[in-house]
Amino acid sequence: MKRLCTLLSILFLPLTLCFGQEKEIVGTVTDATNGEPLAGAIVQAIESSAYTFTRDDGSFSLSAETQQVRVQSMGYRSVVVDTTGCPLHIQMMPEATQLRDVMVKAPDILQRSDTLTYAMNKWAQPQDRNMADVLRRLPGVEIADDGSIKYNGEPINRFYIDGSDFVNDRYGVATNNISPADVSSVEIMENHQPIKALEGLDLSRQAGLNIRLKEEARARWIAILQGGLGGAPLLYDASLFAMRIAKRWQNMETLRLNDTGWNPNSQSQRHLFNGAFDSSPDDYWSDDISIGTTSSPIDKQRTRDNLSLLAQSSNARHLSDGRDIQLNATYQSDRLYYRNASTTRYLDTAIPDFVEQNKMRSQQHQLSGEWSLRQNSHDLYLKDNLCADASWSQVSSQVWGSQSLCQESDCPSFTLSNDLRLVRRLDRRLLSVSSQLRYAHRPHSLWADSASQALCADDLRSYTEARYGWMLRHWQFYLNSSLDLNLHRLESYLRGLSLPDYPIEADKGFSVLHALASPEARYERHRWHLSISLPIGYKHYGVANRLSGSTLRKHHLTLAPILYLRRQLSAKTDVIARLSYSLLPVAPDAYTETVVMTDFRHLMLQIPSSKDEQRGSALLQLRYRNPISAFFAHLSARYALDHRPLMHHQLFIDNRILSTYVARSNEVRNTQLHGSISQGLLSARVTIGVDATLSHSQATMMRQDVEQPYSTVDFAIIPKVSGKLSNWFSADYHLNFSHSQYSVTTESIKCNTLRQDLSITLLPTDRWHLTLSAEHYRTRFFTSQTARITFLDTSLRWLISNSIDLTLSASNLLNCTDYQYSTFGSLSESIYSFQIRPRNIIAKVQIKV
Amino acid sequence: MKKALTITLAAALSCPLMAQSNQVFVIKAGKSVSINTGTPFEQKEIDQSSMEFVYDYRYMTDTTDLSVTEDRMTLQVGNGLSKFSSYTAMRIDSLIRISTPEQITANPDSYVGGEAFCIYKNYPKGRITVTDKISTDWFLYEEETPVMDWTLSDSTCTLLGYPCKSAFCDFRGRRWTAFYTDAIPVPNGPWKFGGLPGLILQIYDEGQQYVFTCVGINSQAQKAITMPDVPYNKTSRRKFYATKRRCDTDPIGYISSMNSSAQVKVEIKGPDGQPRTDLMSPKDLKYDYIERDYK
Repeated sequence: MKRLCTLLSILFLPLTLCFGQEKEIVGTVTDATNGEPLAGAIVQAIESSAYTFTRDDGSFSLSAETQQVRVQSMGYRSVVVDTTGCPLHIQMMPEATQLRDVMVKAPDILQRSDTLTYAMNKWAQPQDRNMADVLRRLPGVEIADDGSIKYNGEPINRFYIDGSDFVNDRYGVATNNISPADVSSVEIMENHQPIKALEGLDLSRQAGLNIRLKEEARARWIAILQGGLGGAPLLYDASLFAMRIAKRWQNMETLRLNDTGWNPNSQSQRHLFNGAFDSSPDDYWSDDISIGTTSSPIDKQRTRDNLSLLAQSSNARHLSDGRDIQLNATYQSDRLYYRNASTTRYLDTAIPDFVEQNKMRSQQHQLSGEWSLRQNSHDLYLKDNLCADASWSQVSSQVWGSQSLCQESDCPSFTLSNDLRLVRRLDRRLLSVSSQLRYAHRPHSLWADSASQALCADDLRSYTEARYGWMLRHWQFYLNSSLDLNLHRLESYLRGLSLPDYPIEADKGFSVLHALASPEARYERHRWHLSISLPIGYKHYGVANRLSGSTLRKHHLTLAPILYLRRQLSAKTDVIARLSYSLLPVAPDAYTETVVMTDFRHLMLQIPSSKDEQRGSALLQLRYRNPISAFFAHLSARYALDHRPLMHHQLFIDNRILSTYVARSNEVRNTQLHGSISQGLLSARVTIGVDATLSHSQATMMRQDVEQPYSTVDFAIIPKVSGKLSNWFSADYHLNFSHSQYSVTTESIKCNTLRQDLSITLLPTDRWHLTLSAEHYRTRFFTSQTARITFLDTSLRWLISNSIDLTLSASNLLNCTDYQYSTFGSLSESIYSFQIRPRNIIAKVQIKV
Repeated sequence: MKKALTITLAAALSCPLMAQSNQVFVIKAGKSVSINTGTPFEQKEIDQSSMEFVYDYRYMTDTTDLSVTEDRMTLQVGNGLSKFSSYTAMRIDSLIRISTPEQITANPDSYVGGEAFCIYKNYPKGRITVTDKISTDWFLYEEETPVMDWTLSDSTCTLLGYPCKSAFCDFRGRRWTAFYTDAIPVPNGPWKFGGLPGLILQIYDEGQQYVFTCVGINSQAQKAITMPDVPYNKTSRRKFYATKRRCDTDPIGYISSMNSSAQVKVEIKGPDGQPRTDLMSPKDLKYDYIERDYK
């Protein structure tokens, strides 16, 4: 019986294997052409998820509840077979398996750790003449009108060329002159901490920008010579730019002379880097005399009738062990002629409109020299910076309209300053000391017909800050203390004006002492960064009046707590919240208490208050960046509320306006929303973006002893697109629409402006570039009048060889002569009209060696 | 900006160490890498590839601040065997071959990058071979072709235009989600992964600390599959990870101990050529390895 059972089970075993609920499918897979077994073929059940692979001898076994299996192998045609004839003998026919290949393209922006690299061969276009042209196109990077660079909404904190920051904060000279042909890539170093001793401790939110040169552009002189002549009137433009970036020496020399409207400020301007350890105290004293400094929203190059010279030299020597010596010198001269006209309405029927026409001539010279020695290593940062600046500015203008007169100002200024900064890191402790010493002498004067103002200021400022920090696992504690001493002497005499109710003479000596202690705690863990600081200070004002012989002393307590919170939501997104409050006395210049004439029409009188000013602000910011898809976005909301003890008061005395203050507490509220997105498309050929800002402010001021609340609403939206649509055609377009509304109790005035820029470049061959550009401005004033202006420019560039090119450019082809725009001032609205440079043609030759 | 550090071994006894002086050590993103500025090693050909798949490999080097390291890897599939290695490392190797030792010492930052590990599947037959470099030393271990207990799922997606199905498995301390396509009947994938009825186009672990994504397919890549012909230290998988951890947490200690018999002085310089003393103490790793069962 036992034997019978065994026999039956052996007989029926194959049946149970082939027809059971979960049967064992066995078989072999061979090549149909030569009968060789096929190893590694995939055998997969059709009706279930079971699968297996064939062994080296082509055999397989699969437990599955299925009627059919599919057999697949690379290089053979797939087959589906019934499992009924178990064991299976499957033969496969060789057949090329067609795969759709996917080519790997280099990403548009390469991310390595926290460095983003924009390769120049992708982002630069043949018509780009300098790095500023390329930077403007990079998604996430913005260049403001003054030439300062921002990355995802935050200004950069260092500018490097091949890892050296020798141009310091005057990087305009580099961005406006370095040719993209010499650059291999632009690198954005996120959360960049330029002080190595603070690396890993003080996480910066700002980015550093590095221009990486091509190997062949390193360690040799590169010079770009340019000369141009044109008309009419006679136009000339000559420039020399030479650069050598080597491991030990870095040099950059620039010389430019021109009368084509170019503004030397675009290259010589300092773009301040502000970081936690680069804090410098606010300047208490401002220059009061200023005539003829109205600027138009139109491109300055179109309005300036100039003769400008800029000579700049930046040199650095890299010594061993991270030490550098830098030497920078700049001389700038700018002579300007211009004509403008304005009509100002004071939103008050009792005050007549003021019409002013101005013919002005100004001459400005600036000379500055800077020497610095720096050591930047992981345990020590030491920097000493000695800077001497001298400037002369003379302006004379002829005014007619509501009043006819001549005015003239002479404003020289000499400054000498020394900055010393030391950061020492000892294992888990940190010591930082910084000291600034500055002396300034400013003898300013102004003549307006019979009236004259002399204003001579001498200022000595010494600021010393010490900081000591302990680092624990997730916490860092700092104790900061600073001593700020300011000695200031002011002599002010106003002659030729009869103002019996007001003081018009002053000779005062000020001493301001501010001692500050500030404990700070930082916490960093699980992508949370928290920082709380509580600066508490004592401020002492001493004012010695040399005319009356009296002395005044004031004591104040200052407080300025800050709470900062940052959360890294993901590798691409972070969110920041910042709350701050400050309690401060009025600035020391309030104690000048004398009438100062700032121009022929405006007078200013500061008065003090014993009450403190309170400021509160809140900021919320969200940043997103995805370098893989070249998408960058940031959004911020800001709210600020100031409680001021003094209210601005405007008084009309004869045909002059006296700006003064009255002791009446008031509030100023500001709200701002800002958002920006930019996206690179079609493998870096097209960049699109949009910026939008909405701001609202509310304040109260007094005019003729009557309180007048006012509010402003500004909205601006700037969409832009720039791209290379084919190898021979590229276009840049941006639109700027802004709407402003100024409301007082009696009326509300609105003004809209629209600006459109379109530039098309055609590249019929590699050697010829033709650029056509159009700028259109439209302003709609409160009177419903509309002013329109269109500029057409063209330029033709012929690249004779890699080193020589010729350019013929014509600007303002329609020969527009006049432009109008509107601005809002203190309870007033002005319509300005500017004279435009006439149609002109210039031919330039550029040689690169 | 994270930059590389250079470590030079200055000989206390100069003569016997001449052979060592052609090593430049670089620590980058918490990893110590050495560049041999001397004669480059030879490669031996082990097979011919017929297809090549390119993967983006991304892993977190700091799970607290989410900083990631990325590399581009290639999977060369040949006749039975396959090799998974870094494309970046391959490119840098060729760069080292054409550079002089002075060029490398002057700018070591440009000569590092890319993952050093290589995974040879079905080599030798039925087993896998893993080679990797820790500091200056080459390591090799073999193991049985790992069995991954895949659970197939019904969810689908499209990657690089290929319809994909998903599958899950728990493997050596991580839960993995894979997307494979049966339109490419190659039971292979990035790293040690494979054994699915189609090529794995994307795979990541829970928490996405390790992510491999296929970005390129070349079905006609006739290239040699090679293996560096260097003296390997043969070891086991667990011993390899223990050594790697020792080096990654205390690279200086590791280098010093490896060269202790020769009495060398270890001097560390930052990317600017200045000495650094703050890196001498061991540090904890801010991430865990792809396999977590070594501890």
